[in-house]
Amino acid sequence: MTKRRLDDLGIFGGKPEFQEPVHVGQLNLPPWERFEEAFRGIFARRYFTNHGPLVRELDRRLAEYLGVRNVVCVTNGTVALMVACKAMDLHGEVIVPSFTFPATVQALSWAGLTPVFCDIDPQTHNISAALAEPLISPRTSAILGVHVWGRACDPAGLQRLCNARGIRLFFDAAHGLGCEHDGISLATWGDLAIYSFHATKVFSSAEGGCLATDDDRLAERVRTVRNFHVAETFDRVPLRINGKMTEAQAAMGLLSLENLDHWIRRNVELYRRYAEWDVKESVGAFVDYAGSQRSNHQYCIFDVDPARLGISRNQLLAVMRAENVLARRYFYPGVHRLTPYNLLFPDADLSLPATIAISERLLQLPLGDGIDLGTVDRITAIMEICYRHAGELRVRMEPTIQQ
Amino acid sequence: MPAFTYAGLPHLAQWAGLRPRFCDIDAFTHALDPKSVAGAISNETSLILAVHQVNSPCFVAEFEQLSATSGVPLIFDSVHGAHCTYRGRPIGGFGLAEVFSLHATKLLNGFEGGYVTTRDGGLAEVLRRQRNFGIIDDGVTAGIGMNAKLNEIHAAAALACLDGLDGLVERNCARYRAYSDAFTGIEGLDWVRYENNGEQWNYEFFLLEVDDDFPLSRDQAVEILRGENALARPYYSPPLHRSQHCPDFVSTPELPVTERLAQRFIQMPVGESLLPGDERVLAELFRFMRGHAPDIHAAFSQRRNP
Repeated sequence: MTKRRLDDLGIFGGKPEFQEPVHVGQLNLPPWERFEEAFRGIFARRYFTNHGPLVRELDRRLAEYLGVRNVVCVTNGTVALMVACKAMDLHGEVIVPSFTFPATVQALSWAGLTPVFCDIDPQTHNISAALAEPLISPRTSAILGVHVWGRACDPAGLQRLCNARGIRLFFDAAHGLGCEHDGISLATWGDLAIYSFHATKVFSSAEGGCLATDDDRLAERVRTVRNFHVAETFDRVPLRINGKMTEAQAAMGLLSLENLDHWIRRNVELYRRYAEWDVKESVGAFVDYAGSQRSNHQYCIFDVDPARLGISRNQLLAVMRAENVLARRYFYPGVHRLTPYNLLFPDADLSLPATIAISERLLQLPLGDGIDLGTVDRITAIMEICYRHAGELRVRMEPTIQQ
Repeated sequence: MPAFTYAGLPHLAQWAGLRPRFCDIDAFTHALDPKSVAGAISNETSLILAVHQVNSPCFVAEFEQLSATSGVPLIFDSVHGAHCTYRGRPIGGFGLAEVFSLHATKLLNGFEGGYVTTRDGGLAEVLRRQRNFGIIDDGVTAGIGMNAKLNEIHAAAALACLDGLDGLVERNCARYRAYSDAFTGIEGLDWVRYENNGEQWNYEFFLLEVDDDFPLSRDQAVEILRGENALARPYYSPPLHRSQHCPDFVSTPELPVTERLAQRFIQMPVGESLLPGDERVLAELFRFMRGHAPDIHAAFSQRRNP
């Protein structure tokens, strides 16, 4: 039965719209038969890890897909960033957005580096050369840009800036597999880019990640840092780690690659369905992060402007949670407000106004293999109720829900 | 920490912002020597990282005592102590915490992976959030964590191995006995024993010891084995403080026992892909080396100076 009134909402005692939780992550799975076949192969070869044949094939196939000379697969995206820092032998300070997943910044801390938080452009949700330039100091060794939602973070501008100032540039493209900027794969901008293959991403190896670079020498250093094996030592590096991807992860990754185009098409289809509702109601809140660029559309980001929708992001989140829609407020509250960075940089708020404003407005809604067009329609129906009855909703929620 | 161990250890200490300080080992057990550690403790020491060897647990009681009196926390690298006991109690319940591996070459094969055991419920809570970026609630972190999550596929493999563990240890033991029988009576060779003292072992390795009166060097013997596709390896050699793969900052103290033992052992092929009878074939190869030592020396030197 379609919900029509506020009393139908779960938050006011109505039956939740979904019996099972609806997740925001992609959670795409290959067909079972293909999975079984791949794992029979692993068992027959008895080759489980240590740069096995499937990992080497995935390195090759991804390099081809991403249009880059070298891909090195690793345990996960966080390890990829840690490996990148040591392969580039970075020191001192690295300029990085606060509007990102905590791992972006934590990886710098593990590598002994000091993050310098850069504010974002409220239109793109990304840092830019203009915002980063004033933060460069004599201690700065690199800028780590994040292509948030897979939308390019001013790579050409940042490259010009880094060249002029003699510092390194690398990118966290965890969201960006299959995305391009000016027709060029995100993998080839900067000295290096990292990707994540976490199960919530459009391309999944259960957990996993990779580093991509056109610089062959840097790739050798990356290959050296990601393991302790004497036989896999190609250069002198400051520190090493066991960041090897396994054959099980690589098998999942190779199957993911087979289905990637299908999943991207599905994401676009679901995203458009959300956007149709948005256009109909003129709320104008679904972030068109693709624009004219090629994107994987793995995130559906809803920008809640209380002046237009009538309620705040946190109010909409509370409504969604009560319906069993596990929407998420990425990236709230901004890494600079998370421990330990809030203690290390207590004044960071002053220089990050756009980060704070945006982190209080965005809501990530479900996409991916687990949902269909009908699920989208049921979610937008809930938003419709919120929008139609915003005034009354505000009054009824205000005692309990923080604005 | 010891230098007669896994190559990754000093790197991992450095990732955690710590500086390794290598200590010497005991000549019989190959495990970290408590006297050497006691002499190395300073007011900058933040941790004792003791390593259980496959043939012997650490000096657990001595280290727990040292940890209590010095106030320096104690952690065990128990990768090779999985399934073993110390004074009748399973390895895993000692010190502040113990660390194990799920690498494919280990007793439990989770492709890659590992686990930490601790009696300390508070520490376990911290570890659970640390492995997930330090997140406590809805994206809010309590401190710097990382992505150290074990995925379901790797966990499924390790769980299946756990179900078959007893059989696996029995087969390891059978291979160890077959090796022992095959190598009995070859002059100049000995092997590391799993003592018959009531403790439980995993019989993971067969470690051959090349004595001074074997006519070839340890490294020559390894080279000959590898030439026959028997992928034997020098055991913990070179020791970490002499390795060019060790991080730069590490000082190189004198570790006489470590340096002597690092030249003596061969880690022989083991595991489920070793076929019955392979042990005898390998022993024959060593008898051949003994019997043809002068010719082998001549061939090696001719290869060096053709």
